[in-house]
Amino acid sequence: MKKNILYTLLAIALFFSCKRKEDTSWDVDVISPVVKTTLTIDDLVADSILSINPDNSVVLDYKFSFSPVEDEFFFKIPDTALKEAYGFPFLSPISLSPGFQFISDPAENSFDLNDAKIEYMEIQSGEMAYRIESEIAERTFYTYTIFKTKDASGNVFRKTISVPAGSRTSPAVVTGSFRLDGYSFDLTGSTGTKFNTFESEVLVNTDPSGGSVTVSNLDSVYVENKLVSLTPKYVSGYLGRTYFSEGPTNNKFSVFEQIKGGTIDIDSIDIYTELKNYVGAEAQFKLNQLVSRNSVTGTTVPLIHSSIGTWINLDRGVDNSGNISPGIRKINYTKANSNIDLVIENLSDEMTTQLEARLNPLGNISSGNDFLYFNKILDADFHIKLPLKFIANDLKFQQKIDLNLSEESNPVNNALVTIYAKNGFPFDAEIQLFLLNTSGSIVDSVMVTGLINSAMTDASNVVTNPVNSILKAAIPANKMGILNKNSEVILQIIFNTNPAPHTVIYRDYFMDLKLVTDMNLEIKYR
Amino acid sequence: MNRLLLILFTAIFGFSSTLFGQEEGDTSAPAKKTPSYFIEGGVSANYGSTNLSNEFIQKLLFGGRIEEREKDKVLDKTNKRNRFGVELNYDLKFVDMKDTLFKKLPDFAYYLGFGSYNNVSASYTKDLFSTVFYGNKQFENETAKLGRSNFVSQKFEKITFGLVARDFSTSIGVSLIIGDRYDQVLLRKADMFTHPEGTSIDIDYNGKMAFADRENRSSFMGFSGTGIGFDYMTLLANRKYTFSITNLGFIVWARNPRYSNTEINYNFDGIEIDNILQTSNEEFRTKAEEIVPGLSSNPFVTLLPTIFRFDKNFNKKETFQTIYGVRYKMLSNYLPSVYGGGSYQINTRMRVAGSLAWGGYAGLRAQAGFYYRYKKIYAGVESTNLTGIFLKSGNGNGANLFFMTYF
Repeated sequence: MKKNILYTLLAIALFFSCKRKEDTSWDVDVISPVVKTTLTIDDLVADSILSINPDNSVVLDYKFSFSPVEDEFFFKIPDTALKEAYGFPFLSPISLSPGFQFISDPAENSFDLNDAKIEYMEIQSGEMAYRIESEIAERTFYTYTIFKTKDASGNVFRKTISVPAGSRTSPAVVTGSFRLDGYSFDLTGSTGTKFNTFESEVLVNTDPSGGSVTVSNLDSVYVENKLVSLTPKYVSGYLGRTYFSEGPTNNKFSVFEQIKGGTIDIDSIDIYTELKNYVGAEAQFKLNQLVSRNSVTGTTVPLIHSSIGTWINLDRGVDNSGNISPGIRKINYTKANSNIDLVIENLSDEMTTQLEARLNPLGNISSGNDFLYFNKILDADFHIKLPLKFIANDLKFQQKIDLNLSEESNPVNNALVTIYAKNGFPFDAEIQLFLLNTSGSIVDSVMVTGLINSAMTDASNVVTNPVNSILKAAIPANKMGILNKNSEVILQIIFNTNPAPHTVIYRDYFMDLKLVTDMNLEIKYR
Repeated sequence: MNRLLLILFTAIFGFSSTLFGQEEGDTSAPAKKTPSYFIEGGVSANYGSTNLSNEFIQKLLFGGRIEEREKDKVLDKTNKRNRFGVELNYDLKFVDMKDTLFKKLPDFAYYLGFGSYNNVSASYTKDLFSTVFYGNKQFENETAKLGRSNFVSQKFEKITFGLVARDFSTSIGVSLIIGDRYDQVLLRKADMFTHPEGTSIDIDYNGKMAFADRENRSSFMGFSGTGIGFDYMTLLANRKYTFSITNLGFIVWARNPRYSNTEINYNFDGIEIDNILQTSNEEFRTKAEEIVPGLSSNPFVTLLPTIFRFDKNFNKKETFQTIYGVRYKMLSNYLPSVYGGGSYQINTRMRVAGSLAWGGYAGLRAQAGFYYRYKKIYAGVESTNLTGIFLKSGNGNGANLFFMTYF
């Protein structure tokens, strides 16, 4: 009775406060369709790689580009330090009046660019760092100029730094940096006939508004300038003879990364590579090996083709006022001239490459008219045309998907999921779901009983009628608990086509799917 | 004056008390000294059901897990039609007996009042109860009759100006109504057929849905809707009976309303997803919302849940006397509630009463009250469902608290 009196009082109190001590909850048994969908090849393959033949058969048209050679291979500017110590040649101390210029030091400097002979350079980024140490007992002004440079407004690089008074025992030290982004350098020196060369000048004045200062041969000034991390965006001149070698390197190959097992026999494939040289200098490229590796099966298949191990000449690019027409070489890989079908059928997730490249193999044959835009160097465009005409045998496809479930958002205690499939594709599909822990390791699975049966086909494996199938998957409470902790699962589908002839996938093939759940779920509200 | 005060006490708190009427008697005798002002306040809270047990209701209202055995017990008591309701009302009133605003009405004083009315109620079929608390699996290959059910949840406040006869024989007030919340789902017809294996569900629906501003569900003075209400009270048959009407009026819900009144036949065979391999929770939510009948944003008008009362008043000359009356609340899934019992005057300060009642949201129930007067304060406490306090298996609870003072 006391409890009921308490509840009565609670009723009044809680009506006012509108607060509840806990959620109200109960369990219900619900049987209901949840989701229906129709899968077509457009859903399974991204539009960007889908190509349709006039007979409605499907071709995977896959293109990708990469730059096989880094820009630093062609050209790199080392950090360049310019250090000077200035003394006073006076045995007896003398007095310097305010504003007196006591150092004027022009200098010619050069970049160490190996055999490259660069005449002109535009800077993308970089800076001039400085450190000035002064023992002069009065404020001084240092003006640093790099001649034959221009910023975007046409101004030469000239910076003035104020250094406070110092002493022999406690010199004044000033450090800092100036950005060189956007500056252009004429590297032909004062005569206009040199290369890799620039002229600079250091001027030092006493403070015009300060007092006179006495100096002697015991006083010094140290100036250190350093051109740091200069990244050009354009250079011209002679780029030099360089050689590049890389590998063997294991490269991740993601095209088939979701295929984890089984075999596929493709009817045909057409791959070509376009090597595009945007550098204004002759180049050579050699692919010594390309090995397809399936890390699941451990199978490796090296590409066999006439281009392997052969130097390929790349003509220089032509600069049309900033628009570059690259020198292009095209290499075709077909079943007829290579084993490219076997390389692809290996369903590799890793490609091992070993390559070499040369720049200006014949030397300075352009008389110093090479150029290099650093945003476009050497591209390799791969173009794969794979008609979806294949024989699949236990082809195992796995995809990680997130069901977006959590203890809070998922009210289902346990469920029996029934999948009604109407398959218009000419292959069987077997489904399984793997449950993962929070570390991503498989800890359990949901067995799906039944098979999505292949559509009925004629002798050419062309679909004549779709076929209905029913699959069931039980998710008991303990497995639901795993899902609530980590709702990422691996969906595995194993495909099988008829063993012969090759099965063609047409665009109008479809699969209707309907998910019906018989579940016990918790209704909860606060 | 004592008699006058007692009349006022019972008249004022008539809104909440379901047990007792006013005092019957002669008003011609002059009071010793008429007070200048009266202040009264009261709270009335009750919940009840024709089939839900107290334990069940308490978990619905205050939280807790409803176990299978509790559902089974309730199901055994569930009839073809059932009711459930919760009320929480409170009033505060100030009466100025000293002043006369209207010179042509010298026999009337004015009063100012404030009140809040909160009501959640439902009437439902056995199939609806079963579906909600057990799920639809039991109806596989069968039709669940969910229609002829109604759910209403509303809350509003009122600010009242009124006139009261100086002998308290009549009062009339007009109120500005401030609507906070209004949710209604009316299922005139809702036949739900679950196909074998649950492959699809057919719904034959004829109903109404109305929701006031769901984005701004302020619990107090929310102004989701605005309206006008009237209150009226009069004494009848030489003060032997009291008849009152409270909250006769309407609210226009104009701020972000959602409304539908439709009839549809629908076959649900799953939420259609464009590409199940690239779907999102957002797509599920959007597609699921498309299944629900479309709701327009046109303003809608609802009548207030007007309360009608008729009570026999006390006769102060009788130590023991009978009490009886009836209360009805419109548009609230409420059955007319009738009560009958007795009252006993213990001494000049204390009185007790008891009665049996039937109707409202609950079935048959016992009621009890205790009233106390000390100096310038009158107060009372009532249980409107005594069995609910004592028994877990009771089907409701209720309490009224009131006080009045004067100076």
